[in-house]
Amino acid sequence: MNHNYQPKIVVFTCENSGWLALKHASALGLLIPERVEFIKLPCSGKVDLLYLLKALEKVDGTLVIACQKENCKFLKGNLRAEQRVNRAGKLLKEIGLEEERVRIVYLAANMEHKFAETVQNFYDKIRELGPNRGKVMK
Amino acid sequence: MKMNKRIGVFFCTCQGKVTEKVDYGLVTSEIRKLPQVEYIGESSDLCCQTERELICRKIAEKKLNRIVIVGCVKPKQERQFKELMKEAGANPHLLFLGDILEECCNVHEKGALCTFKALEMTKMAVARADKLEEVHYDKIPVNRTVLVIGGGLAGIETALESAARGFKVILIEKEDKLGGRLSRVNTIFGTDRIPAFLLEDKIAAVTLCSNIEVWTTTRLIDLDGNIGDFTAWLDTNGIVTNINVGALVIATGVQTVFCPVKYGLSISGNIIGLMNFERMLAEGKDFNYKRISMVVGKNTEAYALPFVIAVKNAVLIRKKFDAAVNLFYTNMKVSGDNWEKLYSEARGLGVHFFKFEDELEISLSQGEIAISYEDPFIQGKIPGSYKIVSDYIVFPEELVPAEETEQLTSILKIEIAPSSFMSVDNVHILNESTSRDGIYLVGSCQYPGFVNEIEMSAKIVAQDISRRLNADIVEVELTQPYVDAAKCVVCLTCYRCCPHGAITIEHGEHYKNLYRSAARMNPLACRRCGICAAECPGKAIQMPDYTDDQILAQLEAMEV
Amino acid sequence: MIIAERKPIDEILKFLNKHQKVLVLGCGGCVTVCLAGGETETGILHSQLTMARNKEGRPLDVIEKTVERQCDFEYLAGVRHLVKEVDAVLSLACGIGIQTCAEAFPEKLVWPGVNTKFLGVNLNVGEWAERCQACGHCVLDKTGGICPVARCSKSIFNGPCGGSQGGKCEVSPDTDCAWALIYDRLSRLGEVDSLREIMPVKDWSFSRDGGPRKLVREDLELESGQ
Repeated sequence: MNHNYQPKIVVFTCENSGWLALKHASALGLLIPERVEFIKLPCSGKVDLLYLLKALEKVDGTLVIACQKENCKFLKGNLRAEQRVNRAGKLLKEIGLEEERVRIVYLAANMEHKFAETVQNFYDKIRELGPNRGKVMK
Repeated sequence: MKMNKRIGVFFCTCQGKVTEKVDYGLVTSEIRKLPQVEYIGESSDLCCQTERELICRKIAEKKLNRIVIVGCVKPKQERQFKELMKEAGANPHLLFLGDILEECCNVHEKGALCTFKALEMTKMAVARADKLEEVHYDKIPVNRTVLVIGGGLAGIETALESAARGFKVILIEKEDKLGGRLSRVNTIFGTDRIPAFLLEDKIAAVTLCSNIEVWTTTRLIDLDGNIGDFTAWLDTNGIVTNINVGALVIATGVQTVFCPVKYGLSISGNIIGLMNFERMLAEGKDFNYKRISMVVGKNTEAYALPFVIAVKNAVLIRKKFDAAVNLFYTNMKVSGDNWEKLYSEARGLGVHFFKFEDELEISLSQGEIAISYEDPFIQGKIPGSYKIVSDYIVFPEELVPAEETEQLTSILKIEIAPSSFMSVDNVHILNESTSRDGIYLVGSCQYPGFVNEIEMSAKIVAQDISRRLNADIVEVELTQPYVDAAKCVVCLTCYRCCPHGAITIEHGEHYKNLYRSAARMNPLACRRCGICAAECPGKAIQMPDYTDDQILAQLEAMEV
Repeated sequence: MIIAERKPIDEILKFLNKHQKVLVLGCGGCVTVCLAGGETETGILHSQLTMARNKEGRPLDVIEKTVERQCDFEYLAGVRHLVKEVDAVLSLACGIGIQTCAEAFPEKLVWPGVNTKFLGVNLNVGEWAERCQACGHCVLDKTGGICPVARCSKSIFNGPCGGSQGGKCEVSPDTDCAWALIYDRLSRLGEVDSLREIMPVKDWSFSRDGGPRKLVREDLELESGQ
C-alpha cells in the first residue's frame, strides 16, 4: 500500500446533530483530516441515494452523520437515511466495490469527541481500503 | 427572467484567526479566476457595522446577485447576514456562508493542505451560490376556529384559554355533559379547591362564553386538511356535520381498569380501586375504626399519579377518621412539587409504610385481608414473614388511554407511543405537539397528568395556536419543498413518507401533466426535513436552499 | 398499474459489455410510480454503471433521459436525436415500453433494464401485490370484487380448494386464499348465497389462449371515419 495515499471523503451531516457536533469539535480544536468535506443537510432524511453515488464517483468514501435512533427531529428521517445508505452499500457491492465505502453513524450534537473519532476512524478505514476503483478520473 | 449570475465573495479573516493558518492571498487569486465571480472583498471583521455597510454598497455598485461569505458561521451570523441581504434589497436566500474558521482552520493543522482545503471550500461555496434561488413569502388565509375534543378539565381549560385569546372554539364531548373524570375526584393535591365546585365554575364560564360552542354526545369521525384549514366530520347522535377548523386539541383523557385478578384476588366489596376509594371518600363513607392497606407497587409505577393519590388519601384518612393505614410500596415516587412534604406529613400522621420487593402474598378470609410480607431491610436478620390484617385493601387501577384512542389516532394520522397513549412529537420542542402541526395533546391523553400540569398545558397550547394562527391571513416563507408538476406522477411516495402528514395531492387545470394533479407540501404544516425530496422517484420535488442542483454542483466543484 | 423491478446489475453489465456509449432511458409512467425506472432510478443506474465500468478500466459514456411514457411512439420520437449518438439504449420501462422502444429505434440495440413483474397494487412504500392477470373477461361481478384468476394460485372458479387453511393458501403461508377472501367479503355483504351458483368453465379465448391480443375500436380510429 502506498503510504502517502490520502483518501478523499464527503460527510453529509444532519444540521441537528452532526453539524453541531462539528462546531463543538471545532471549538475544542479537535483535529479532523484535511481531505474531508462536510455538507450540511436539514435532516439526514434529505440524503438522496443519488448524492451518495455522485459523491462516490469522485471520492473514496461517504459518511452520513444522523441523529441518534428514535431521536430524529422529524421522527423517521434517520431511519430513511439508514435505508438509503444500506441500498447504496448494496449497489456498490453488486458492482464489486467495497460496501464499507458508505456508512451511517448516529450521534448527538454534544458528542464532539465521538464525532472527531468517527470521522477519523472512517478516514482510516477508507485509507486501509485504498483508492475507490470505481472513481471517475477527471 | 434569467439574470446573469454575478457573485460577490466576501472573505473575513475573523480578526486574523483565519489568516493565521490560511493564506487568503492564494485563495483569492484562484477564486478570481472563476468566471461568475464579479467581486472579491476581504476584511478583518465582516460582522462590524462599517463592513456591513460596505457589503451593501458593493451589492448595489457591482450589481451582485449572489453573495458568498467566507469566515465563521454561527446561527447568529447567519441571521445577521440574512438581515443584511434584506437591507441591501436582495433576497436573503441568495446568500451562502462558508465556515472556513470552524470547518477548516480550527480542525486542521497549519500548512499547505489547510489553505488548499480553504480554497476548495470556497470553490464549492461559489458553485453552490451559483445555483441559489430566491425564496418568497406567501399570504395564506387560515381558519381561526379551534376544535377541542373532550369535555373534561383539559378540554374545558383549553377552550377557555383559546377563547380568551380571541379564537372561536367548538368543544365536543362524547358524553351528554361536560366534566370528565375530575367530577369523580375528592380533593386536588396542592390546592384547597373542591373539584366539584371548580368544575362547576369552569363549566359555567364555558356556557357564558360567547366564543365557545359546546357539542355534547359528539365524536370526531373523519378529518382532512392541515393546520389553518382542517375539515372535521362530527357525528352527533348519528347526524353528521362537517366543519372547518384551524387547529385541533385532543383532550380525550385516560380511563381506569380495575383488575384485582393480577394480585390473585377476585372482585369483592373490600377490595377497592384507588380512584374508587377516593370516590367513596367524596361520598362520605365512614372508615372509622377500620384497617386499610394500600398497595402501590409492581406494574403501577409507570406514572407518578397513583403514588400521590395514595399518599394524599392516606393523610386524609388519618386526619378524618380513627383508622389504621398501611401503605405497601416498591418505590415511593415523590418527585414533584411539595410531594416530599406530603410524604413526610403522612409519616408524621402515623401512616405505616412498608417496602416490599417481589410478590406480596395476599389472602382473603372471612371478610378480612391478610398480607404476608417480608421486609427487605431486615431480611435474613429476623427470619419469617409478617402478617398484616386489614379490613380493606386498595390497589391503583390500571391507567389506560380513553376508549377509541386508537381509532382517533388513525383519523388524526398521529403516532401512538409505546405506552399506548398518544405520542408527543418531540419533548424538546413543545411537550404538547404531535407529529402534525395544528394538532395538540392536552391532559391525560398523553400520560396521566395532574390538575396543575393540565392547566399549564392548556395555556401553552392556546398560546401556540395563537402564535401560529395569529391573523386571518398569515404570512409564511415558502421554504417548504416544492413540486415540479410536469415531473410529478402522483405516485404517493412522498405522501406516504411524510412524517408530518403535510402533503396533499391537489388537482387543477394549472397542473401541466397527464394527471392534472400534483403533490403539494402545505407551507404551514411542513417542517422542512426534506425526506420527501429524497424519496421522489421522479425527481419532481426540490427543497429550497437544498436543491439537487445546488448540492450536486457543490460536489462537482470539489477537487478529487 | 404495471409493477417492475430493476434487473440485477450483472445482467445489465453483460448486455452493455461491448458498448462504449449508451442511453439509459427512464419512463415517467408506471415504473416511476413503482420506483423501478423513474428519473431517480435512472440517475442511480447511471452512477452505478459509470462506477462499475471505471473499476474495470473501460469507461462507459452514459447519457440519461426520462420520457413521459415509453409505450407511446410520440414520446420516444422526442429522444431520437439522442439515440443516434449512442451504441445502444437501456430501457428502464416495462416490457411494453422496451418493445415500443425497439420498434421506434429499429437500427439500435435496445436492452431491458427491468423485469416486468405483474399488474398490481401499491400496498405501501416498497410493497406491491398482484391483482389482475388481464385475462380479457372480467368476473369480478361474481366474486365480490376479488379476482380468482389473479389471486388464487390455481385460478380456480369454484373454490376454495382443499389447500385453503385458516384463510391462507397452501402454496405460501404469506398468500391469502382468494376464495376465503371472496367468501368473507360476500358474507359481510349478505350476498354469500350467490356462491351457490356453480360458475361455468371460463372462456379463455379472451385471454392469451387466443394468441396475442389486439384491440381495435373503429369508432375511434382516425382512418375509419374518412
